Amino acid sequence: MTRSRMVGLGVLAGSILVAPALLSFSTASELLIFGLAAAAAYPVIGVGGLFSFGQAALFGIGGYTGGWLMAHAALPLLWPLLAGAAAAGLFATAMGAMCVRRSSIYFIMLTFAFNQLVYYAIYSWRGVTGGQDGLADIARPARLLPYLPGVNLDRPVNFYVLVAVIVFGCFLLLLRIVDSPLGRVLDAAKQNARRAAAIGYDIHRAQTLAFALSGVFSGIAGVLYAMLYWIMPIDAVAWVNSGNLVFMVLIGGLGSIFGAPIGAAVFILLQDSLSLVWDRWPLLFGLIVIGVVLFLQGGVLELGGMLRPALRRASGADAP
Amino acid sequence: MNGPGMTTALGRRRLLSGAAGGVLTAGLCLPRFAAAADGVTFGSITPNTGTYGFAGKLVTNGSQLAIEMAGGSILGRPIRYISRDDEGRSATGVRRLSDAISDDGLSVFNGNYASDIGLAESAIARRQKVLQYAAGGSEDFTGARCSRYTFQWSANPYTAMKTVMDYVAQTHPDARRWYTITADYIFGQALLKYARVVGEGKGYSFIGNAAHPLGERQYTQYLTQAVAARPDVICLLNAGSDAVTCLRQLAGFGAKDTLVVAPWSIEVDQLPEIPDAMRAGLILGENYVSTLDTPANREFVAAYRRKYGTAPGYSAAYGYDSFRTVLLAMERAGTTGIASVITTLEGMQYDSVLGPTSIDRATHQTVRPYFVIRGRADSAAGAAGDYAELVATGSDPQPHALNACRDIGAL
Amino acid sequence: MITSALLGVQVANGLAVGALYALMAFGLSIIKGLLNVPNFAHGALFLVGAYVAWAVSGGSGSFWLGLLAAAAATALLGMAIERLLVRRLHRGAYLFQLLLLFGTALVMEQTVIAIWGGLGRSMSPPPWLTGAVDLGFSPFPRYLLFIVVAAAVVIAAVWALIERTWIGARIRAGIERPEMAQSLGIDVEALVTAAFALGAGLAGLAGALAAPLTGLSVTMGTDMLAIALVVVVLGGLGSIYGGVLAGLLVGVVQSLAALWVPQASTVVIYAAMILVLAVRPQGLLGER
Repeated sequence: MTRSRMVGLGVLAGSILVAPALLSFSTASELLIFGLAAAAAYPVIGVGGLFSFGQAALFGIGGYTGGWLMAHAALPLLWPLLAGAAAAGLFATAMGAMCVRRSSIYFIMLTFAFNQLVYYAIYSWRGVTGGQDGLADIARPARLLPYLPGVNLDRPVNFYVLVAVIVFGCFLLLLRIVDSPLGRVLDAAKQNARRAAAIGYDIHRAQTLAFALSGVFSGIAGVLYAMLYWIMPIDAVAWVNSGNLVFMVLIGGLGSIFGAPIGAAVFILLQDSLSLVWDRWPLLFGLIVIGVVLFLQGGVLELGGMLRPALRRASGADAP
Repeated sequence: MNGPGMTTALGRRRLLSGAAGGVLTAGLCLPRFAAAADGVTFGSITPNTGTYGFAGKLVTNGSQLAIEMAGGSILGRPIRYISRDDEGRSATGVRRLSDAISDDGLSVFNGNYASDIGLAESAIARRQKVLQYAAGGSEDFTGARCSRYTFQWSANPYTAMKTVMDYVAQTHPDARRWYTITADYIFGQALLKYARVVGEGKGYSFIGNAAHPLGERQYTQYLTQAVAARPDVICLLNAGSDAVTCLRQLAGFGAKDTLVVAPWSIEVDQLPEIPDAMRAGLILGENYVSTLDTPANREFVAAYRRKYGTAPGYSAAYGYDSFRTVLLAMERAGTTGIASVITTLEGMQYDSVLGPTSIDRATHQTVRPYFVIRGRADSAAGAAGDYAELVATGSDPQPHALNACRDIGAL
Repeated sequence: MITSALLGVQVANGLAVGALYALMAFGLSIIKGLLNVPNFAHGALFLVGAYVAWAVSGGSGSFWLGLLAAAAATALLGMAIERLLVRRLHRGAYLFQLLLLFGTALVMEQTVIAIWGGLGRSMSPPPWLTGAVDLGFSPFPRYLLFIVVAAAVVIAAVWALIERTWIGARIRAGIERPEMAQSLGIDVEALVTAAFALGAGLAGLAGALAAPLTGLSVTMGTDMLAIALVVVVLGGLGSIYGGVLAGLLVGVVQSLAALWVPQASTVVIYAAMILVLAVRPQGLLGER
């Protein structure tokens, strides 16, 4: 692990510790959960350059699978979490295998179509999923692991700690994936698919694998989300949510996986504060999107980089 | 590619940019209010954007008026009012509700326009022990998903169907072959269920049903089938813009001799959207009409006109009457404690804007009248009330055997 | 009971709805051809077209003036979007162009709400287009018939413009061989602007034609965009006419699906798209 990674992780851990002092536990938990969902999208979108508009389907499959188990069986958390991760991972593998052979708009539209299929399947399968009303009566498990004493997850602080530990752990794994040979193959394929193939990389297999892993972590984020408000709302699967996840990655910056959780936090807090200012807040939001695209393509991380000389001047310190 | 020097530089850059992100995040945080120790916070979690974006402002108007007319305080404690945008999505609704409870000390709320959002919020209300006054066409609020902390302002779908079908039976005794067009989700299905329950009691035959997805824009492919079946009555079991669009496209078929009945579709506010030719003779069921001659409604309509310059519709009346009811219960209970307010509301009899009203102890259903209006073609007059006239009122409650609320839960 | 008369009227209905999809897809294909990016603001232009038509025809009393104003206003808007925003990005920055158009769409949608309010609106067709005609086997709304005719006329006119005129030859050259067009001294920049204006105008016109049928609502643009994108992909991105064919097909399939599986009439299209792309990745008429 490089020093830059250590510093980034330190900042992330610090933010997780400080967040509850500034925000309610539910908002802080939600930021972390969407931070994980955005980070899970990063290997596909950021490293692979594949603009998947099907991320909400993966998030949703995880949430509905885990949520259904929690609503119907008093199991330790481990099982719903594994089930959600596995279901989303399997679907992501199938979706990835069918989509990665198509490029640009075809790829976007295929992932979008898969997202719509999942949405309508969940919408129609009312007896199991609750349809339009969402999956209700999800109970947060009384135990985390089999044979261990119980924990009261209905206490907001306990739930936040659980989310923080799981999200941080998953983020470490995602970081390993991004830095692994798989990440290098994905990056090479993004730069020049033909050359990467000529070197001997099986790029479609690598891209499918990236999808599968993205699915596993999106699924975990989905299970945590199902526990957050004790319901799994169907809008979480809507394609708009896929678009939001892409935008979170972008707003944070495509250059680093550390941008994804920052992007998720900025995105959610920005919407919350704009909606208090003006009923027509999506107009302001649209202007911000245009502004970011035209002037700040590196996202918040680039903004940080631009501020750095100014900060240094302000503190009067020389470069160490 | 990165040498060690590069890595260090990157590390600092990450640190600084991470810190900048943190500062930005902190700057964007909502201001966190501690709930005033002696105050009580009322709120509306309501759509200001999205499909039902028009309704949020109206609910807020009505809710604010109720608090103002109570003098801005209850039992000597000041009332703070907040309004949050649910964006027409339950995911957003539950988040804004949770934040309002923890950050603003919210203890009473109303405002859901769509049933699915209200039901999602109901789960939060039960856990956080805050009082929800919901509205909407789903029977689940007071049925399968009833809750001790949730009250339902809108009429039960049974009451609605019974009132409207009684009126049709009385005025059009020969209209016996019905064709239904149903929005294919819980609301439409509940209406369809009760249409059949009530209709079969009258010996009607239901010759066909077209189920369409929520938010459909294109109804002609269903209407071709409906028109081809030559029914006496086309009955719309959908709501809002779905129903308006459906009616507009029905006008294109020129089926003049078919009676059109919409038991829970279109609010008085939306009547101007319907083409003149379609509005004439249209039979509509309503949860509220502003021309009701009750003392509470006269007071409400006059104050609303003074403040906002127009007559109130369903959304505004829901906002106003739900908060007025809670304030009344607080006065009767002599406390703003939610548990006492709930036990006071249960079985309470009072005069609402709708007239004599009570609340069913076992289900939290507001037992209240439902209204039938008949559309008029002459749209010359501008005020919304002039597009239709009130022709019937009914208040038969849902038969106990049809109610699915088995255990409303503990406080 | 499904009779042949019912089948016939469903097909006719499907063609009318499909004609609107075809107009949308045609505009999208033209823009995609020159800019290489699907116009995510196409739905918002459809919405703006509908509201402009409603406002102008309501104000002036002329339905035709409403249609004309909708097409002209959205064409100008399209030109402005291309000149002021899209041009500022590198042509390769695919995701950023999509997001830019998405942001623009959001701003347009919210501006419409800010001006005209969030409540839906109703627009009546002119008196001579109301009521039904008898197709011989079923009554059929006159206005649906009008949509088919109007869309056919417009599509034929644009076809003639592209295939039979000097400007059209340049547009075709710009789509098929952009580098060669540039080296021949064709002003590709101006062509892109012209194509964007043309595509946007078609979207606005589709919105204006749809308004008396579906009424106006603030979400009509988003709903239409999703279908139009599917139609274009089905038709094949390499071809500007594939979308027209696919639009009509999708309209008919949707309309027929309402007879057997009404709840699934939306999802049928997405499933069809996945299947078609699995078998024929270039779409129905696409080359490559």
